[in-house]
Amino acid sequence: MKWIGKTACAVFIAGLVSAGALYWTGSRDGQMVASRLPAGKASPEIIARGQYLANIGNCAGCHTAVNTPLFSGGSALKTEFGTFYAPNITPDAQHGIGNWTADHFWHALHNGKAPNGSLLYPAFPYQSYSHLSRADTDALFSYLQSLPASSREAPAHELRTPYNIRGLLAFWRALYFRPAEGVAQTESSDDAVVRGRHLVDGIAHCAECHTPRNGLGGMDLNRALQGGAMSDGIWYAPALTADQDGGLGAWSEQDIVDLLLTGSSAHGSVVGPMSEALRGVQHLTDKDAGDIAAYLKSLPAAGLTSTPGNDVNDTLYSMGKTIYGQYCAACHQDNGKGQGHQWPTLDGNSLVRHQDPTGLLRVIMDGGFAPSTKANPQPYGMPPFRHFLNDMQIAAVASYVRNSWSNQSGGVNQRQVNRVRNID
Amino acid sequence: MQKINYLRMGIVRSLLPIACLLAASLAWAQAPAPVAVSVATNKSSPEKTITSTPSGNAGESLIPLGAPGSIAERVAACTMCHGATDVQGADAFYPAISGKPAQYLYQQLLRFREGSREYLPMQRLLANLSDDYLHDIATWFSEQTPQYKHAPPATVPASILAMGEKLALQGAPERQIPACVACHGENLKGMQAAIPGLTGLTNEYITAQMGAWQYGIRHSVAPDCMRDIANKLTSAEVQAVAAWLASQDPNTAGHINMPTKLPLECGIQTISGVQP
Repeated sequence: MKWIGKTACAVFIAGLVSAGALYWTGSRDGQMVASRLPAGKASPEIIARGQYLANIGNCAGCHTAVNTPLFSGGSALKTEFGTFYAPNITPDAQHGIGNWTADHFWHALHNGKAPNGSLLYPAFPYQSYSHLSRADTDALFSYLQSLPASSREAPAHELRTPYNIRGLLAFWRALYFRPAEGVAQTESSDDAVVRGRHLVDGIAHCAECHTPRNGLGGMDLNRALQGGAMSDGIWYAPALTADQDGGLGAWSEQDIVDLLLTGSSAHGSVVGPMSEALRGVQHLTDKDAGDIAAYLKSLPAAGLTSTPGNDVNDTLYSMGKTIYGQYCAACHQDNGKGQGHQWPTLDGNSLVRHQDPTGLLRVIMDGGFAPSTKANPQPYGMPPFRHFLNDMQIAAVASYVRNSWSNQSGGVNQRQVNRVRNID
Repeated sequence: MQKINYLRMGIVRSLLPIACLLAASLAWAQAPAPVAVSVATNKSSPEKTITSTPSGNAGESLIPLGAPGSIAERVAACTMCHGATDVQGADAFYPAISGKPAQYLYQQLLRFREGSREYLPMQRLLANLSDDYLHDIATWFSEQTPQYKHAPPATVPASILAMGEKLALQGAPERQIPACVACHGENLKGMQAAIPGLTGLTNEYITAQMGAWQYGIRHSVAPDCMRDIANKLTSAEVQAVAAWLASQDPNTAGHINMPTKLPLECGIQTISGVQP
């Protein structure tokens, strides 16, 4: 029986060593890069650059709660792990980041660590911000430090065990996070694709939603920007690769620029969680928006495959055609092509054609407006039909639009509609 | 109302595996490739019979649209339920909003968007709209001339209607309950800047709102005068006053009243620039 004890002991020690190695891997920092601030001082140009970056990254979206001072801490973010509160990042010494240096700030964005070395939850998207250059983190920091301090105390996170044990983040990071290398000192490139990639990977943090996450919940970088389901179970961030179906294959660079700057495009309008991103990216300069488009259009098709959808019920389809005429065609037109940028095309629309119709059903039920943007301050809106159409009628009209014109995406049944109707 | 930040939700989801990471196997699990679109091969002869739906004639559009480029055209999402000049929603709980004070409507839109006036469909609809646009929408509705259908005859006994009339016109001074008309105007068409008119509303809507004030679901800027009043009313009184208000002719001539001194201070008027 002695060998059992020995084996157990060996396994235990191997486990400890592995855990130690993982912990070390997950706690490592990237290469330190010296501050780019001349003599530690920020010029008005640098502060303006920081403000621009904070705008396009929509930092306020998480770090500012309704009716509170700018960046004084965010509203509750409820998740299956508990509730997160983004911290106060104003220059208040006690409740904000008034005691931080530009190095501390770099450390937080590049390495995902607080000044005391504790690991930050990736609710703060440092997997993306790690790609920012040192000059840009310095600019962001300088801008934040230039704002009025707020002594508002952001609530502490309220996380369930074991998620409240920060040290365990090291193991997650060992698997899914490496501080980005080789980007910190990148100078501005002459190549629009390179500049665009820097924006997409960094401040715009596109991958956080548009890259799928694998079975253990980490970003699947082998399928970068190939589209990902949102954890709310409703929305799907479409692929940004060149795939014709579900990607940007049919989009021109101008279409991408239109969507980013106005919220609408020839291929559809912004809906769902992307509306929050629009609060930031609408502030992109024309050049930066063009660079993003150039980079995205440089991505090859991923070869996304399609699977057959549900059978289309003929009766529902016929009923849907009538309902379409009554409630949809006035805007989306009989040919499903919509009109201009105000009424999106349904023919070829990735939301309409997506394998999971949840997002489409949600739009039919709740309607919605494209986001107000600088370029489109008075967007058009679609009425909510939740109170006008019953489950069968919604299944009918969804079946119709998913299988008309060039769309062949399979049917929708009442059971699916009823499930979506009851999602809060 | 919690702010839901979707950008972060995706990231936060990635914390799930922490608990199981100490398990020996550190397999990099690969989910199946994302399926961006599905293809149906089984669609059959879609152009068959056209069945009629429970509402309206086959194919005839039921969507109200204004002139191209107009606010009316942009806010079809609103007029589908609230109507441009008269309520046309699917049930009795949609209030008529045309011709109400712009500031009142604007304040309600802000509160719906932020979730402090709780109604999820409205919150979702307004989530992406700027303050400026909400103000434009409020102003547009305030400028529409109501053309209501005539009020339905009251279905409550005359004694209850009389109780409602007395409360609406005289209040209950012994309990410090002011008359409705003291603030909402003798003509019930509201008062600038932010006191709504009370005609053209259904019994159901008024009753539901009074209940919402009483239960703290609906609230306003302190001092919250309407909450105080609602809390002093019995349910029988709410029923009576709602029935009487709903039975008043909404088509009488008259305009929104100019601000006058109120019997009690209302925060919503104060923040709207009207001195108490």
